[in-house]
Amino acid sequence: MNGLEVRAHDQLREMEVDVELRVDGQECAAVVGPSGAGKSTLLRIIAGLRKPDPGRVVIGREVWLDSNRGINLRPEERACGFMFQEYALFPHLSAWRNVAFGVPGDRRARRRHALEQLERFGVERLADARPASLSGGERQRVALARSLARDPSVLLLDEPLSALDTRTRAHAGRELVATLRNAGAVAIVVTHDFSEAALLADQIFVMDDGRIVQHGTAAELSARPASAFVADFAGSVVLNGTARPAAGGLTEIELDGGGVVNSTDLSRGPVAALVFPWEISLEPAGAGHGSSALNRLPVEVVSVTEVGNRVRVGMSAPQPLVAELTAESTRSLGLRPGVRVNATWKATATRLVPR
Amino acid sequence: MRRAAFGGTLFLALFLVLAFLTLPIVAIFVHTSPGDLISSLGEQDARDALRLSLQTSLAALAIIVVVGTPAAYLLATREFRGRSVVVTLIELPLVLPPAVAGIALLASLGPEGLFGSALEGAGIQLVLQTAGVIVALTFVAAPFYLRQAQEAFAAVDRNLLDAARTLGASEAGAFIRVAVPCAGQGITSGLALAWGRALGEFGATLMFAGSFPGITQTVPLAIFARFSDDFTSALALSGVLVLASATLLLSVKILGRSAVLGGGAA
Repeated sequence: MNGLEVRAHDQLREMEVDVELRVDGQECAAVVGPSGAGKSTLLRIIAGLRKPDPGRVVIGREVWLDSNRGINLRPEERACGFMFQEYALFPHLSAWRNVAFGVPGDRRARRRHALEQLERFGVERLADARPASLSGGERQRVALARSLARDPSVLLLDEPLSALDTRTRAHAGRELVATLRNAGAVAIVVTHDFSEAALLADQIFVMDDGRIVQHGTAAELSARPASAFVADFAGSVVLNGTARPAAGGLTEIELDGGGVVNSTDLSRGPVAALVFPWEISLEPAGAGHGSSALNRLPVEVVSVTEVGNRVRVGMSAPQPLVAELTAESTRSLGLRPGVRVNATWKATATRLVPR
Repeated sequence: MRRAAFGGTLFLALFLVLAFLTLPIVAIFVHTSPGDLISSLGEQDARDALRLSLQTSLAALAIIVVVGTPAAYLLATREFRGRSVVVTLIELPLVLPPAVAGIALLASLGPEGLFGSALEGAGIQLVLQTAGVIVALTFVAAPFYLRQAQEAFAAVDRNLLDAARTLGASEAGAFIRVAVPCAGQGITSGLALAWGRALGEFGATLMFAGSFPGITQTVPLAIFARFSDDFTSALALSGVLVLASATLLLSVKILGRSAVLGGGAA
C-alpha cells in the first residue's frame, strides 16, 4: 500500500481551496481544470511549499503533514520530485549540475549519477550545456531527469507539456507516459488540457474554483459527467436549457435562445444537454426528416477546421455547437462559414445534467 | 532628411554628455605628469591617506555585505506589514546631504549623542578615530548596496528557490546556492556603487571623524587639506584616487561577469 492521500483547506486571497483526493500506489493521476482553479496550489501543498489550514498529506505510511498532530515536514524532508511549469532550471548551472543539485556525495559520484539520469532521457550529450542554450524539449527532459534524480516517492508535474511547441508536444507526451509508468512513484500531473490528462493519467480529478468537482477515468468522465462544466472540459457540446417531461418517456428541453431537443434521460428544470461532437451529423437545410434522429436544429456554420483526418465544424444554433465529420462529408455538404444546415443527433445520445 | 536630423541630435547629446563628464577628469591628468603621480606617492601623508581609504572602505564594504545581503534578501522575498516603510527608511541616507549625515552621526553616536554614553561605557570610541571613518562610510554607502541587492533578489524567479527546496536544499541552502548566484550581477553592481560612494566620501567623514593624517584622513580629505596651499600635490593625489577607483570598479565588474558570481560555476 503506497498511496497518496491529500486533504487540504487553504484560504487564498482570491479563493478558497478545499480538496480531498487519494491516488493508489504507483498510479498516475491528473488534476485538470481551468487556470486559477487552484491546481498549482494543490501541488505546492503536497510538496510542502504551502501550508494549508487544516491539512493532511500522507504517502504510504509516511505522514508529511498533519495539522491536527502538529506534523509538517519541510519541503527538503519530503521525498517529492517537482517539475515546475517553466521547468525552473537553475540558469547558472550546467545541465548535469542541475540534475545533481540534490544528489549527495563527492563530485565524481554526483556527476556519474547525473549522467545516468540524463542518459535515461537521451540528453547526456547536453550535460555541460547551460539551460539557456537548450531547446524547449531538451529543457523538459533535463527538468524531468532532475525531478527524478533523488528517487522520489511522489512526482509532481505542473503543466509538463505546455511550454513545448505543438510539434514537440505529441512526442514528448508519449515519452512522458512511459516515464511516469516506470517512475516507481505516485505521479500527479496538473494540466488545463483534458486530452493531455487522458493521455497521461489513469485517474482524472477535475478541479474548479478550488474544489474537486468529479473524478474518474477519462472514459467515465466523458460518458457520465456530473456537471456541464466537466462535460465541457471532457469535450462534450453543452447546451443549456429547461427540461420538462414529454410523451413516450422522453424529456423535452427548451434551449436558452431558441430550439427544442429531446433526451432519453429524465430530468426537470434547468439542465445542460450534452452531446459528443461525433454524434452530431449535418444535412442540407430543408432536407426531409429522413433519419431516425429525433433532434434537429437549424444552425449556421461559423468555422471549419481540419484536425488530422477529421473536420471540426463550429456552428451557432444560437448556442455554440461543434460537430466532427469526415473531410468527404464536409466537401459534399459544401460547408464553409455562413452556410445554413441542420444539425441532427439521437435523443439517446443526449445526456442531461442538472445545472 | 528629418530622420537624419534626429539621429544627429542624439549623437550631439551623447557627445555633450561625454565631454562634460570626462573632460574634468582628463584635465587632472593633463595637469599631472606621471612623474608627479609617483612623487606624490612618495609623501608619507599621501601614502597614509591612500592606505586608510582602502582599509576603511574595504572594512565598510565587508560590514555592508555581511549584514546587508541577508537583509536585502528578506526585504525582497517576504511580505510583511510595514515593509515599504522599512525600504523607505533604508533608502533615506541616499538623499541626505553629507553634512546632514555627519550631524546625524554625531547626534546619535557622538560623545554628546543619543548612544554616546553607552558607547563610552562599552569602551568604544568612534569620533576622531579610524573606526569612526568606517561608521561614516558604512552609513552613506550601505543604501546603495541594499537597494541593488534587494532589486536583484526580487528579480530571481521564486520557482527557482522552490525548486531548490524540493531538491533537498534548506532555506539557507537555497539562498546561498541559488539566490545569491542568480542575483550575482545585481549584487556586484551594488558592490561597485557602494565602494565608489565609500571611496569618495567626504562630508560625513570630516564632520564625524575629523581629518587627522594617518588616523582619519582618507584621500578625499587629504586632497581638501592640500588644495589651498599646494594645488599641484592635490591634483596628483586626485589622479591617484581616480586611477584607484577606476581599477576597483573595473575589477568588480569583471568579477561579476566571471565564474565567481552570477556567471556561475559550470
